[in-house]
Amino acid sequence: MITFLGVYKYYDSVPVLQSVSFKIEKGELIFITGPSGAGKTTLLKLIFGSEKPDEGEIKVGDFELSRIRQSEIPHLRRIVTFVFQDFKLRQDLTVYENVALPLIVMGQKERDIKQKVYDTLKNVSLRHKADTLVRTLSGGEQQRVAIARAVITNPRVILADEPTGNLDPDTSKDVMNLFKSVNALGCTVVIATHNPELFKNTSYRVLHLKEGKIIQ
Amino acid sequence: MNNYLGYAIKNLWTNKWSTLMAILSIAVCFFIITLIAIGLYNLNIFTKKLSNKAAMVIYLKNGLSQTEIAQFTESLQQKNVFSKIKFISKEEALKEMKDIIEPSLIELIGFNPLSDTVEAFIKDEKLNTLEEIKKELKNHKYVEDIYYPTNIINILKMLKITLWNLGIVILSLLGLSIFFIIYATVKNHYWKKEEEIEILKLLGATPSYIRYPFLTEGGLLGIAGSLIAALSIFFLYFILYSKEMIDYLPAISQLILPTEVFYLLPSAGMLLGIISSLIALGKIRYQ
Ligand SMILES: Nc1ncnc2c1ncn2[C@@H]1O[C@H](COP(=O)(O)OP(=O)(O)OP(=O)(O)O)[C@@H](O)[C@H]1O
Ligand SMILES: [Mg+2]
Repeated sequence: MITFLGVYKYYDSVPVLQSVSFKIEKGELIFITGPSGAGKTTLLKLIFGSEKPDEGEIKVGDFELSRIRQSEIPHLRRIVTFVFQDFKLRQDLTVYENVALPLIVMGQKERDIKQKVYDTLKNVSLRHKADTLVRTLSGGEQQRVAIARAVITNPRVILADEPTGNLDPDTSKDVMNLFKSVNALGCTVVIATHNPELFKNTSYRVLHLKEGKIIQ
Repeated sequence: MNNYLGYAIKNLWTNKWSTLMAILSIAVCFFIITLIAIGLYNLNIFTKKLSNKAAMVIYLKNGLSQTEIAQFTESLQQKNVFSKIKFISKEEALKEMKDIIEPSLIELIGFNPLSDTVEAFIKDEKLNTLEEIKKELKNHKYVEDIYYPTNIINILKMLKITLWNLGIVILSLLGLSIFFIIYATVKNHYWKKEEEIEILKLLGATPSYIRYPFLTEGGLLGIAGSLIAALSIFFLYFILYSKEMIDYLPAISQLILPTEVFYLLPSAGMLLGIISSLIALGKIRYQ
């Protein structure tokens, strides 16, 4: 599903990723870990088309990201969604409106949207908060809204940046279970985290990044 | 489509003061544009009428036969610059003269001092061709003399060209002003929504999805401004054409208001609005 081949990324001629090569299979759930500043977020951004590699090849599905045109990026983002560390939710809209947004952008009919949004909100246990303004929600609740918005379009890949960043252990477990359940439906999930608790005692693959290089 | 329109109207309403200012400024520009355009249109009609009335008067030599005269008028006809060629024999000319001058005075002379003339009415032709023709005719063996009001026509043409050039410069400047008003307004509304738009881009919104509401906004600004201008022109026309006005200044009734204005203006407004906002948005870039 995702292939990196000899990828280099520089910021102001400082290397952030160096000679990164790996392969993520379709339907896999994988963790990317490493200390702060290792390049985890940068790696996710490269998969999302937010950044372009300076060297090397990146393939996501049928998209060649080293050569992708601006006009193709919206199409890439129909199959790859991102759960941002700072959520990037519309604070002035309700939970319902935020989760419906990707479907509206895709031009789906209002009736279909309604059903899907309520189903998805039920899955993240936020059905009862549908009409609440996002700005009044707690961090954990906003995290779940962000996840709901990322999964509602049935993407083939979900990228999550530090999805348990400032959640208590119980809520973290809930969030992880959400990712596991979408993964069980065949969606590829890539989670960047510096919290080893998330993958301790699991069989999921882990990519370790350090100073922009993959170790092990 | 409905969605874009609703979204655009909502956005215009959110920024109602800047929207109102923009629409009024656009209306003023379109109003002046239309006045100038109508002025130029009437100027064209007026000068055409006038130059159709201008005739080259050709005095023929004495003693030409009927066939020679016919031959001559035929040759004029073939030049294809005259709309009408009228032969006036000296007898006719004398008769006309007697209507103006006391006949007994003319009797006094004892003979007919006038010559046969041909009046050639000019089509709207270039002045230098007419000059050439005038020169050529002057040397013609049948022609005694020729009279043509070069100066008046010259001044008239110069005046017309100057007014047209001036008009076009002002029209372009006003068109440019409308462009900048819409450009600035739409860009400003776009910037206010930048955060929203960034989120839309992250959710896979296409450039056209992002652009449409703003293009609609620009189009609506253009239409609203031009409609206000068109209505104002309509009212102005009614006031000018009122009985009191025409009694006071009869020349006003000669003014023509082309009704095309009422559909040309809103179409131009919409088009200009859409183009200006398209340029204001520029290329949609994804990060
Ligand atoms: N837009 C940018 N411009 C310049 N430097 C950047 C930019 N984005 C990231 N960097 C640098 O690249 C390096 C890697 O950043 P990145 O955000 O990928 O790290 P990270 O592994 O996600 O760290 P954290 O765990 O703190 O989120 C850092 O040194 C950072 O300063
Ligand atoms: Mg990071």
